[in-house]
This record gives sequence, C-alpha cells and structure tokens, in this order.
Amino acid sequence: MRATTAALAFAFGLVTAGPATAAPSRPAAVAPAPRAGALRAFDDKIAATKQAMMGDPLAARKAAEQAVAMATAMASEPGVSPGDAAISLATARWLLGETMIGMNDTAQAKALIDQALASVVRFDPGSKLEGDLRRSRATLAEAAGNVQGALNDYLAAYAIFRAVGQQRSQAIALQDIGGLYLEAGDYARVRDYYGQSLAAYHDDPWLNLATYNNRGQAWREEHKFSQAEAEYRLALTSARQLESPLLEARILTNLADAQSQAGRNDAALKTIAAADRLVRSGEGAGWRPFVQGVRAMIAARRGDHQGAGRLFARAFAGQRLDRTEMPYRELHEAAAETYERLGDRDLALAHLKAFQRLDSEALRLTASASSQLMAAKFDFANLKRGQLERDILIERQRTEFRTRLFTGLGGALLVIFGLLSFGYVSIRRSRDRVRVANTELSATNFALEKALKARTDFLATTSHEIRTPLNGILGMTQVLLADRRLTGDVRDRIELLNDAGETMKSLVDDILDVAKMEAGELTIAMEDVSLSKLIGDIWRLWRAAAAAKGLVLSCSLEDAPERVIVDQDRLRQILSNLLSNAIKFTSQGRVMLNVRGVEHGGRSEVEFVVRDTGIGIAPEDQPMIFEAFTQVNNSTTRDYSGTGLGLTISRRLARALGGDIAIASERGEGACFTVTLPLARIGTANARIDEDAGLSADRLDQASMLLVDRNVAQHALMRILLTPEVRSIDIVVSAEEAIAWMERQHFDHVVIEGASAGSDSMTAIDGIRRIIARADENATRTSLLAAPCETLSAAALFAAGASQVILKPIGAADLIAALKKSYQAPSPAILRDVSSANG
Amino acid sequence: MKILFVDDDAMNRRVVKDMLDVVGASMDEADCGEAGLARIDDEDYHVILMDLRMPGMDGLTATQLIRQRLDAKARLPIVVVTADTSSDLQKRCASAGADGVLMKPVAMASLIDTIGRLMARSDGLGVVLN
Repeated sequence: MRATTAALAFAFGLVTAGPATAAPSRPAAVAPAPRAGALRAFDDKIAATKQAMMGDPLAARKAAEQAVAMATAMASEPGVSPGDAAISLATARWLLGETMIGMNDTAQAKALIDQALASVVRFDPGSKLEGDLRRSRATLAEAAGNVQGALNDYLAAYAIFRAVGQQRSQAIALQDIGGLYLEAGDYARVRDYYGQSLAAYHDDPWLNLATYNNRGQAWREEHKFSQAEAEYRLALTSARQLESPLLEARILTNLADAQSQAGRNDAALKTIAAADRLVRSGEGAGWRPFVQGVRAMIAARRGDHQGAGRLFARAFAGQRLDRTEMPYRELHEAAAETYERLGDRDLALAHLKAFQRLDSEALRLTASASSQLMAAKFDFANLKRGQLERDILIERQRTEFRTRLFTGLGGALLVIFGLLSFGYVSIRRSRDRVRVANTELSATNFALEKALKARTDFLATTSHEIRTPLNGILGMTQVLLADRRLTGDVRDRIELLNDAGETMKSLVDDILDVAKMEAGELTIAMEDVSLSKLIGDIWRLWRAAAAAKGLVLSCSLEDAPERVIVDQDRLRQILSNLLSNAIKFTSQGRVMLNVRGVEHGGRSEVEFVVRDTGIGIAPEDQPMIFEAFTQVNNSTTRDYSGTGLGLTISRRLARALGGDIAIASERGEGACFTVTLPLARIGTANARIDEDAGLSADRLDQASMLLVDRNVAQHALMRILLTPEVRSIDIVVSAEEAIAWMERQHFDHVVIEGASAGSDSMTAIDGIRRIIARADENATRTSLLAAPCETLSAAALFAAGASQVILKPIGAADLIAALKKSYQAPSPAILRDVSSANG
Repeated sequence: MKILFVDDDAMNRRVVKDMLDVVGASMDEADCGEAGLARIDDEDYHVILMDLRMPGMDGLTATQLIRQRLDAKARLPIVVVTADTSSDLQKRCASAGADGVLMKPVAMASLIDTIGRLMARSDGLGVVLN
C-alpha cells in the first residue's frame, strides 16, 4: 500500500511551470525608438500569438506561422535593419516552436528553436530571448532524455535571466532545474531549488502553486507527511487565488492522500469531501473519479470496506474495466483488494485483471523507454559531480537577488501554461515525454527504476566476474579431454565436469543477455543470409544432441526464401534455444524444425516452427513461460534442469527483430513454438535442404583425415590449418606409420606430403604408391601434396594414382579450397572412390 | 608454429598455453602491452593473442602500435581475447586493426578455428606452404 500511494502521489501530483513565453523579447533599448510600420504590425502579431497561446493552441500556431512569414518578409523592407529582422524572425520562430512543443511536434520545434538560437547568439547574445530559447531547447533536450543537455541550458538561461534582471524568468529556470531533480528522485534538491525559485520571485500564484505542490510532493515521497501537508496548504492558497476549482481539487486530493497516509483519516475525509464538492461540475468534472478513488482508498484504510466498495463503484462508474488508462492503475489494485475482502470475487478478479493489464503495459513502456530513462539516470550521476560548484554559485546569486528583489521588477507579462492550466486530461506537453513515461508508469517510479538499474548492473558485473574462473575450469577440462590417452571412468568424470561447466557458462551468458536487454543495450546487426545454410548448420548441430537422447530431429523447408535480411546470430540464438528446450523436455519421439515462407497481410514472413512430442505445457501455464526465471510448476523443475531464461531471451530477440513467438500446446501433448519474423524475400529462389547432407563423409568438414608429413616442425601449423575444416585430424611422419594407422582405424581422407613417404625421392614415390594402394582398399580419398623436383617429376606424381594432386608452393587458403573442391566436382579418379564409398 | 599471448592473468595464459600445446603450437607470454611489443621486436610469431584490459598499456593501444610499424610485422595477425561484452566491442577492435575477437572463456575449438582461419585467409596474408 505504501508504494501504491507514493506512486499515486506521483501520478496525480505533478505540477510544472510552463515556458515563460510572452515576455517582450526585444531589448528594451530598441523599444522606444520609432518603429517602422512593418515592425509595429509584427509586434501586434506577436502580442496576438501570445494571447492565443494562453488558451487556443491551434490559433496560436496559426498566428505564430503568420508572424514567421511577416518577419521573413521584413528582411527586405527598407528601414528595418538586418539585426532587427533577424531578431524578429527568431522571436517568431521561438513562439512557433513553443506552440509546436505544446502540440507534441518536437522534431519541428527543435529545428525552429535551433535556427532561432543560432541567429540570436549572433545578433543579440545575452538577451532575454536567448534565455527563453535556451529554456525551450532544454525542454526539448529533457523530452529526448538528454538530461545533461537540459541542465546546461537551464543553467545558461538562468544566468542570462539573472544578468538581464528578469526575476520571474529566473524563478522559472530554477523550477525547471527542480523539476529535473524531481525526475531523479533527489527530493532534498527539489525542495532546495523550488525554495530558491520562491526567493527569486513570489508574486505569481502560478509559480507559487508549482513550488508548494512540488515541495509537498517531495516531502510526501519521503513519507514526511506533516511537512507535506504544510506545503499543500500553501499551494491551496495559491490555487484559490487563481480561482481554479480544478487546481484546488487536485491539491486537496494530494493533501487528503498525505493526511490519510499519515494516519489522519478523519481529516483526510474532510479534505477529500471538499475536493469532491469542487469537481461535481465544470472544468474539474474529469478529475472526479480520482477524488472518489482516493476517497475509497481512505475508507479502506479506515477499515470501512463496504464504503470503499461503494466509492470504487462510483469511481469506476461508466468505465469499461478492460479499457481504463494508466492513471487508474493503483485504483484498480486497491479496488481489487477491497472487493476481495468483501467477498466479491468477480469484481476483485476484474480489477486485478485490469491492474495486471496496466501493469504489463507499464512494463512494456519501461522496456521501450528504458534506454532513455537509463541514460537519464546515468547522466544524473555525472550531473552530481559538478553539483557543489553550481550550488555555491547559486547560493551566492541568491543573496544577490534578495537585495535586488524589489528594485528591478519589470513589467513583463508572463504567461505560464502547461500541464497545470489545462487540467490533467488536457494537452500534455512534449517536454514531458520522459516525465510522461514516468507518470504513466506509476508502478515504475524512480525507486523501482533505481532498483532495476542496480539489478541490471549487478547481473552484468556478476556474470562477468564468474566468467574468469570458468575460463580456467572449462579451459582445463577441454585440454584434458583432448588427450586421447584418457579413457574409461576418468574420461567420463571429466566429461561430466566439462558439461557442468558448459551449463554454467550458458547460464551466465543468458543472465548477461537479459541484463543487457533490460538496460536497452540489445544490438541487432542485419545482414544478407542464406537461409538454407543457416538452417542446415543449426539442424546438423542439434541433430547430434537429439540423437544422443535417442530422438530424431527432422528438418524441412516450405516456400522459404533462400536469401533474407536478418541478424543471423540472433536467429540462431532463438532457434537454438527452442531446439535445446524441445530436446530437453522430450524423452521419446521426435523434434521437428519446419521453416516456411508465408504471405501475411501483403508482407512476406517466415515462420520457424519447432514441434516436439514431449511433456507439453498446460494452457494456463503458457503465459508464464516467457517470463524471466520462470519454470512451469515444481514437477517440471524436478524432472528437468534449466533456467527458463532461454524463452525469455528468445521472445525478446524475436520482438527486437520485428516478429514474435507463439506457443500452442496441451499438457502431455507436446509443444509447438512458432517464431514469426517479417523477412523480406531477396530474389525468387527458395531455400532447400538436403536431408542426407553431412550424414556420410561426402564433405570435407565431415571427414576424418590422416596427414602424412615428415616435417615435424610443420605439424602444428598443419593441424591448426586443417582442424577448422575437418571432423578430425591425425598426423603421422612416414609411409609405414600411415599404413599402420590405416590398419587400425578408418580414415575418410589421407593427405600425403609428397616428400614424406620415403627418405629420398625414390623411396618416396614407392611410399606414396603403397599408401594409395592401402587407401584404395578402404575407399579412402587421397590427396598428394608435393613440389615437383628433378627426381620427383609432376608426371610421376600424377601417375602415382592419388585422387587429387596439389602442387606446392601453395597458399593455405588455396590448399583448403582444393581439398574442398575434391568433394564438389569429382574427377574420374575420385568418382571411383565416391561410388565405392557410397555403394 | 609460434604464438604470443599478451594477458595479465597468469591462469588465462596457462590455459591457452596448454590448449595450444595439444595441437603442438608453442606459446610465449607477456603480461602487458609494453612487454608484448618488446617480445614482437625480438621474435617472429604466426599470431598474436591480445587481452584488452591490462595494467600498463592496454590491448587496443598495443594493437594500434603494431599496425603502425614500418616492417612486415605490422601485418601480424592479431586476435583480441576478452571477457568484454559491450556492444561496440567488435567495432572498437576492428578499428584498432585487430583481425578477430575471441570471447573468454575461450573454447579450445574456437581458439584453434580462429587461428587456423587466419592462417588460411585468402587476402594474400595467409601462410604459404613450401
């Protein structure tokens, strides 16, 4: 409940001062001079724009556009200096930019503000207009999540307003900075900056209202309710001065919640009743459901669940519970609790469902906004480093403006508009994009985000640290297993150790992946990919794992494009996760990978279907399986090990690729996962897969190879060169040794380094012939790798009868290409081998 | 076949040395960028394996310095070996001039594959068998 009300306070309590538009931006020195006609008409248009900005955004935009046109035309008027024309245009652009900001068109607004700022910096640096423009730019930076940039501009604006003696604008700039800290959850500084704002200027009830309300909120966030109450009472005075029943009701709602949380429920009831009277009709009517909702929450806290139930019914009257919006989230949660107590299971469930719907929506928004929000958080850490200096500066200046406070009050007309003046449902300003994300995500308020960030950091660091010792464990088990002398029980034990290490490694990798995704650091690298190669590789890789469990893994392609643009590492990761799961949870039967191209709503998609005959997943468990760290029911966990992260990662990856994963399954009936990705077809060819490919050693990478090479110094290089290309490689130094090895075991391919088969060229050619003769008996492919010389002619080499002759010197890449080629385009000699090998 | 591994962690060096020993390749060690550069001056290597984070000169700086050499050693194959998982890792390594990246924990198969494929590269920098 505590978290709920804190979040509620945030959702309901946000009050911001808007931009300080409408103050005459032309330097005072210009104004008294006789104005050219064009300038006078322009001034009138500017005044009209400012007037319209108070209530009619569309009219304001139109007027501002006209002002821009007038200012543009002015440049060619006689009697208007280039500087005046430039400043006029900048003023008009600024106002147009501000109306764009008001209408959430940040891209256009940014272009206008940037242009205007550039010419003001040139023609009238240090003017109030520059300060106003910097404030506008800061607003946009804040909306884009660039908190550091926003702060810099707010501070620059503040310094300018201070230099030109604009106290009210100074106060607004200080409130802006306070607003940044409100987003950061640094409540002490919120109070500090709003306090300074009040010291700078306190004759404007709008500004005062924002100050008191936000300070109240800062106290409430820290659960200091009596201080919060005192602030809200001051805010109430300002709201009454403004004669706005809606504002008064909003402050009263905040006050009532603070009182109720402080345990003073009787006072809270009186307060909320006063709020209710204000919103029965008129502009505040839209606020009424929230008044009733908070009233219900107070009733519930008093133990009056019957009353709370009735009030919740009123708060939600006329609302479809499956269609409510984000601000209702906490009310749903509280209502569910109340109805649960009242025994009304159906309503409780409906509210719980609504709460979960908004909650998951909140989480979805977090995911999409997270990188921005995280970046903002990160910037706050930087921001605080320079804090001390700035605080000292501001403190010094505060003393200064106290002495000036009554000396320089200009007659500037200040229009403040924003969230506040239009009520909670009206135009939300785009400067609040980051803030809106927060406001809507009442659940994921700052405390939660901090926790999330801390968790992400922790997971990333920990998984990184675990890799280091794993490096030693897995490295050594691999070295040990590579030793062929190792046999029997000892090999089994080390294999077990290696498997456990591998499992741990994939666990750590998965955790790191999830941490990265939560931090918004998932990167996607699209490339042109051959689907038949990719699917073929995946299939061959997992077929062995399936076979080891006595399962068949089949693979088929239907109308799937041969070439697509996709991130192949991510696709491989998704399919490997699904196949690994399917094999893990299937004890008998088969696993099928089916890839098919489909047309869906005019766009081409590819479906990757992984089907198994395993234990299946009950429908009620299916929504949970994509959640992190979930594994369906205890019996599953007992029977099978695993983290449950694979599916979470796969779904996120699929979504990052623009697609999704669906599941169809019944308990005991096997499961079917369908990954659908929007993969545009390149060309018309379809992907094909050869069912038998790789089953027999008709490819180099499936071959067991024996290399005969007398030059021991060359062995390591040859082994390293050939290992990536073949299934296994053994190296011997002489014809005798080669023949002895071939007696003991079967090789698919023997490569003879020509000079190695004997001690001189005469014995060499004899040795080569003996090896080839032995190889022919076993239908073994032979490649003769040799440099012709005086005693060992090319003719003699070709005559030795090898399947293939490769002449040295040769580059390593060409050697491998030649070895591969011997499998693709069989020469007659090789054909003989192949036919007998397959026959 | 001679390989140099520059890494400050003795356990890492030992593991990779033993892995290379399985295929018969020998490995020299250096524990920081400076020591690695000195080794390269004195010896001929087929491949350099380079950790990133080390006390003293880091791996990317050392890689850049090798690429700036005026002799044939400027084109030595360099493979970065790291536990760094940041998303711009590949880009940073490539722009420093590294030919490949291996993630820790290093799997023996991918260690051998990576070195083998570098030896057999087809851009004219692969080894020639005489």
